[in-house]
Amino acid sequence: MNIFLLLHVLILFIFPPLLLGIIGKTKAFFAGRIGPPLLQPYFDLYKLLHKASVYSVTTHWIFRAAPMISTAAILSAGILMPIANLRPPVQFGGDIILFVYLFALARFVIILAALDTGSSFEGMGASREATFGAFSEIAMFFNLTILALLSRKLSLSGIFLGGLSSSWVLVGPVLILVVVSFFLVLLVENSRIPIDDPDTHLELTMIHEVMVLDHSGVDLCYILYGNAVKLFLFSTMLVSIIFTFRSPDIFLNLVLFILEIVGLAILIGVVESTMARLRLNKVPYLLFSAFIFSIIGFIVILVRGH
Amino acid sequence: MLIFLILLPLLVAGTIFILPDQRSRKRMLVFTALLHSGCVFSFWMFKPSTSWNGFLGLDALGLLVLSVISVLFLMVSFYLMGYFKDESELSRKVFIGFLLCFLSFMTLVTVSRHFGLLLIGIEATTLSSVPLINFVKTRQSIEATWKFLMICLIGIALALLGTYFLAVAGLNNVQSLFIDKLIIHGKELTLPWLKMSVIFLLIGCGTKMGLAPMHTWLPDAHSQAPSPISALLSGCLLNCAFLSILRVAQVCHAAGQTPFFSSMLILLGIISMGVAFVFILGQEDYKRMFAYSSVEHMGILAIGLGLGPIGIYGALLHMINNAFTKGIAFLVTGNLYKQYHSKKVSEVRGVFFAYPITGIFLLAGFLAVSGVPPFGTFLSELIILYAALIGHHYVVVFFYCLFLALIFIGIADIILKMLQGRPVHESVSQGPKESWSMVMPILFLIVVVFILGFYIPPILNNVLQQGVGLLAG
Amino acid sequence: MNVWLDAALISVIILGLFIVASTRLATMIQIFSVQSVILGCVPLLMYAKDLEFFIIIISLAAVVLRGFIMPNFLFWAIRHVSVRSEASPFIGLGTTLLLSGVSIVGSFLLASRLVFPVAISSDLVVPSSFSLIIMGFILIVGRTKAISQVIGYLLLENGIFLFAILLLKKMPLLVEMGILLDLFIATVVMGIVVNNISEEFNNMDTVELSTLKD
Repeated sequence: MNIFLLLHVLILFIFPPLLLGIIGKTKAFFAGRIGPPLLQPYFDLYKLLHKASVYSVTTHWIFRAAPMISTAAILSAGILMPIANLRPPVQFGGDIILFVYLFALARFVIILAALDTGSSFEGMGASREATFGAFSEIAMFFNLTILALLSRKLSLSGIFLGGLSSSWVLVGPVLILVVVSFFLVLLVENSRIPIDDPDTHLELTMIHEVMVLDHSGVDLCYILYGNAVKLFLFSTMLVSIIFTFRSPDIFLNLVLFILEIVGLAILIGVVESTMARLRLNKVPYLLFSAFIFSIIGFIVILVRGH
Repeated sequence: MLIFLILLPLLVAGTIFILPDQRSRKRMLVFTALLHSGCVFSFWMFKPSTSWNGFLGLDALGLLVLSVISVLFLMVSFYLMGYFKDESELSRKVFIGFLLCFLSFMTLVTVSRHFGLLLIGIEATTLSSVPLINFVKTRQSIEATWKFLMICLIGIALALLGTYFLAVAGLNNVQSLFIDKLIIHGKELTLPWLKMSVIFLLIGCGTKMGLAPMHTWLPDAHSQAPSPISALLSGCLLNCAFLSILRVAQVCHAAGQTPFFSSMLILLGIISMGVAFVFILGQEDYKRMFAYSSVEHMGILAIGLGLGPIGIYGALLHMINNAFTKGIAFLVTGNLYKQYHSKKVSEVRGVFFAYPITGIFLLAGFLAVSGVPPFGTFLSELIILYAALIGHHYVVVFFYCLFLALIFIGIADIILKMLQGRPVHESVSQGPKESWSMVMPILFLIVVVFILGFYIPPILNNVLQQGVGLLAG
Repeated sequence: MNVWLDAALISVIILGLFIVASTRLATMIQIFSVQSVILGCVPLLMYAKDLEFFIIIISLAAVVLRGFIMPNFLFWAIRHVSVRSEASPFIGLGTTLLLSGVSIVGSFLLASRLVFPVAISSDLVVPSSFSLIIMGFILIVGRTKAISQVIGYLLLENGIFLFAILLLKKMPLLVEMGILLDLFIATVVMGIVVNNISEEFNNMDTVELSTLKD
């Protein structure tokens, strides 16, 4: 049991930046470039750790504390989530709510830090992020409710460690709705195209990037790392909904899991390469359709009486 | 026999579309109308048998509506001979062809014994009346046609949904949409589905009938269509829709849901009368005024239908009176339009001075439409009032009398201004006098409505009583 | 609980949502055509156990008529008039989506109250038909372009057809075919009137059709 806990924590801590590398490579492939090496995010994090941070004189302790709080929150959410059929270190009934609110806490402190700088650019990014976060949280909650109703359990490990095993056969269409809705939520929460461009350098078109514009050095390292872990956790959740087959062999599970996550990262890269960014006032409609999908699934489940 | 009645106008329409000869078109129209009326007249003597597997059949209600349609169509076809003396040729081919199709489909509605067939008939009448309304392609007539088409098609779609609900209500027992079978097994119909079906059928067929608040297509369509077509729309099409509501009432009565249905009918009727009153006051277009008067009379029909056996008798009698009265009203407006070339009230003055015959007809039409004795409308409205009084529906009585009086004032104001004085332009009174064909039909209708005001022939009374029996047991 | 039938019905609702949310006319017609094809397959899915010949005929007729002939006719109409999109609808996108969402929830609520007398293979049919009907209404009321209103009417008829599939075994063929035929003729007539509108008014904005007022 302890080995598996260690394995879970190790994967959680070490694997996420590789996802960013895979996405970068996919986008480069679509653009006809060779692109940065797969391990580039690790090198970036390492480089940032050695740099000094520069702080603006208008900021207070919030600005210095925010990166640490947000990364800590995201990592805490990570230890609630089962990875590759491995039991997470912490689990209790109702931890899905804690899971969502830990992400909300991370977003909250980053927004506060952005407002703390007193610059209008960061404020603009903060307001956008708050709006989209509000919409995406509703959709996420409804998705989680559907999953909880289907598996009759209120904890993440309960849902994803076997709770959904017969659901695809019984209520396939509903789960397809959940998957589509959740994929849209994933794109929003992690600031991917078509909502936000992680590579853009035009401040007026950024959402997430502009909020973290003023962070540097170790703080920036924390934030980048936190984003990678957040993406990893969302991908894990999505993959666990789609592929509910798990074998008793740990090694096989691990391999399957890594393959599925890599596949999802490639899919995100494809989506990013083939689509353009949506106009900012169209994003709420995208989120609203994610919400509608989950609502329809929710109603169908209610009607069926599961 | 019944199939022949339906197919005959269609066949004649087909030949009109194909044959290039134009002189005989009007004669073929009148000939078909005469043949049609002759057949219907024979039905009063000998009841025809049901045909086509029980889909077609004639009962008392159908006979009443069919006779009204037939007579009014005959009068309009006579009128058209004079009205069309100077229109272009090609459009006349389309016009007369679709006019005959219109007659055929209305006949189908009256003799249908199956709800689905009834709805198909009503939709077909809607579609075949579109070219008739759109005869003169001006901006406003296109607008009127579009509104008519959209609102009526949506109404029929809702009525179709209501029919499906009715089928569901009978799914465990009757498993059929034949009116006779539905009436026999009325008590077994599932109640929630039956109520929903009644609501949707009322909204859908009420749209075609012109009950407020679904009446919005009516003033536009009636004012923009040529006057004889307005007469047909008001006198025949609205009555066909009323017939479908009568069928729904039959099923409701058999299922014991009459109070539920009656309350909705009375509510819609009073709203219709109120809406008509609001829009008749100060109306600038005399055809629109008569169109709103149609809305008012449909409201009276709905109120009568919801007031028990006596009210139903009054409503059926009023249906006949109203149809002929609207025939008078709109054909007279046809005369007026030919003479004054304008639909505005302000430009029509001195009808008595310039065209005395039309003036007398207009006066008679106004009196008949407002329900002044000794015209038939007074008698039928009185019967409905009596039914409301003995049923202790005092609120209904109050609003009914109030709106009738106010509408009388409104129409009187407009028509009397038109009748008196001198024409605005001198050239108007030098225009051609009315031809025979534009006078005789109106005169005939006035005489009929006048007679019905104090004498109901026993044979008519018999059929009316049968109709009441079908609806109220 | 037929999974394919459920998937078809849910996709029909979602496609209806896409139609309501879209403003480009070509997109609306294409999605409508896809939805009609799926809808045409629903009778086959529903009565897969005891297929009869006339059910196959009705499915085929629905697919061909609603899925190919009518959209082609609508494409001809918009090409003829060269209108591309709905520039200024009465109800904005957000309100439309909100109303559609509320209508879908409302349909499910209403359908759960109404007990169907006979056992049916999927309890999603009645709610999805109601939601399609209400979404058709939203389109008719909320749009200014005449073609959008025609598409809304067709969506309404799709919803009614979906409800009628439940009664397919008991109601005779006559009425079903009659409805499909009427629909076809109605579309043709509407198309002709739309062309009249466009010729006379030089655009298809029904906002212009408001001169007849009291």
